[in-house]
Amino acid sequence: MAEKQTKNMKTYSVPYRLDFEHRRCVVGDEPMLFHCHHYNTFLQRSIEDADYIDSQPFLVGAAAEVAYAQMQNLFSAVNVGDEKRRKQLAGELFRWAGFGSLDLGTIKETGGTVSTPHSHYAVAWKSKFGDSNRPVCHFVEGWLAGTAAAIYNQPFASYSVEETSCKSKHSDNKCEFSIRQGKPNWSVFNPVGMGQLHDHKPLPVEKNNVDYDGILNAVSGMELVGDQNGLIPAFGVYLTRMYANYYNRISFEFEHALSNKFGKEGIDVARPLLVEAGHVCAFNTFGGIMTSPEWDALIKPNLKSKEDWVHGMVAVANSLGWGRWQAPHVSEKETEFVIHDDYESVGYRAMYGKCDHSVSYLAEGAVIGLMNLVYVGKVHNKPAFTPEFYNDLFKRNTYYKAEVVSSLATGDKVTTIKVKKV
Amino acid sequence: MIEVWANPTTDCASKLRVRYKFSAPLDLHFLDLFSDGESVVNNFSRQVAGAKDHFAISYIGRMHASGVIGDTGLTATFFCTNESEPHSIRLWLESRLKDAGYLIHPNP
Repeated sequence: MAEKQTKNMKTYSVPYRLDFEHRRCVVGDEPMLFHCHHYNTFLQRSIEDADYIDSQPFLVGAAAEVAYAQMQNLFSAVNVGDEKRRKQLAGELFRWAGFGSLDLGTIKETGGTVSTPHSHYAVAWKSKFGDSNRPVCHFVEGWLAGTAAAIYNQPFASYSVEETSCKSKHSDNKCEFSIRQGKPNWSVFNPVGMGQLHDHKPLPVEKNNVDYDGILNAVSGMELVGDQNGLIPAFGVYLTRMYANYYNRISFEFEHALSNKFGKEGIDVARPLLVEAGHVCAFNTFGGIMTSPEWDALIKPNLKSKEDWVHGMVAVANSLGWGRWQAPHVSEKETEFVIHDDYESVGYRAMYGKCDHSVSYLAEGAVIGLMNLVYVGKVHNKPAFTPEFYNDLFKRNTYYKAEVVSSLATGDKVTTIKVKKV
Repeated sequence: MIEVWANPTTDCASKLRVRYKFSAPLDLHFLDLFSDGESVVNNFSRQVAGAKDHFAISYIGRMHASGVIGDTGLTATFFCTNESEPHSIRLWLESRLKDAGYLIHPNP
């Protein structure tokens, strides 16, 4: 019997490569990884809420950066020179990755208008925060600008773009984007691609009941792709296979903007916001995974202790494209997480060089979240993931604290985060 | 007759989600009821010792449901469409189960 049987399912021809050694998914030489709609919207809102900095240019520019680089590489790799075929491939990738659905047939070399009733950010925003009073699909704006330039063999920064209608708003029933050839209205960054990856030297892990390699292979083989509307409902959440360098660029430009404005205090403001986005991710993504039918089938039958639950989630994290995650020793009092080539550090070094502090904010928030869920939140009882539950685990109480012991971003070989019970 | 208890709730995107509990384990034949939709069976038991197999059923934009072969649970999430709202899609699913001989208890 095959490892997977499908019926009537849409098939894609997006060429992707799984780099198991580095725990990466690569498409057009751009690393892509899974995050859920909670993280996507919370991160964006955290950045936008700092209205004393102008974030829209880099929220858009970061997407243009990755889309242009990827599409150029993809079109070259699969030898697609035909405009129509390029548009089809780009549209297919957009849907495959869970960004929504887009028909690029209405774009010409001089620009055009693209509309869709299915945009991940608009749908996600509305479900999480309610109606927005302004457009929220900055990622799509940038993606369109970068992709259009690649389709028409134009220089990178060749198009301006504006979302003129957004389904996240009460008044709009679709998202519409106007693209114009000309000076970009977004920040221009140099794409960095994969960055520098290293030879991993995995550490020995204590005995546990989790088949790390089997879970990696199983989850990597699952059909985690966009449905007809370009949504990926899986593990109880809505996933996107997003660009690692999109998250990196917007997070680090946010930190830099605050640092430029307020000096060191700016970093002290940015850091907890970015770490909290990691809490939100862990609570919803990890929580969703650990209470999902997929988990019940693949992982739960072998779990015999709470420590196994931590190992199980770390095993799944290895298939998300975040880097190689390990937990050599797990206990309720203290757990050390070791991440080889964590995507945040790799991206920072590629974009800006070495840093004087750790930038693994998502990882820091996520490991605290994992320990909270397993040892305090009793995730094995399948609680309801309500705002009240989140506030109890992360806001009203401090159950666990994280200490970054080593950081690839600062020049260490790995990123190590120690989580201790308070 | 197999009985089914329904426990409605909402998912993290505020969509109607119903957790169904069956009085007997689900097997692969259960998927025959949904042959007009998209389905996938993940044979995890072949990849991890001790694991079970997982199935998922989708009616694009209408319903996504999944469960474990050999277990008694089915988790279904219902979406709004231009033609229907989630509760009517839930009724559509439960009618299909009823027509197949399941006895539905709609609320806990």
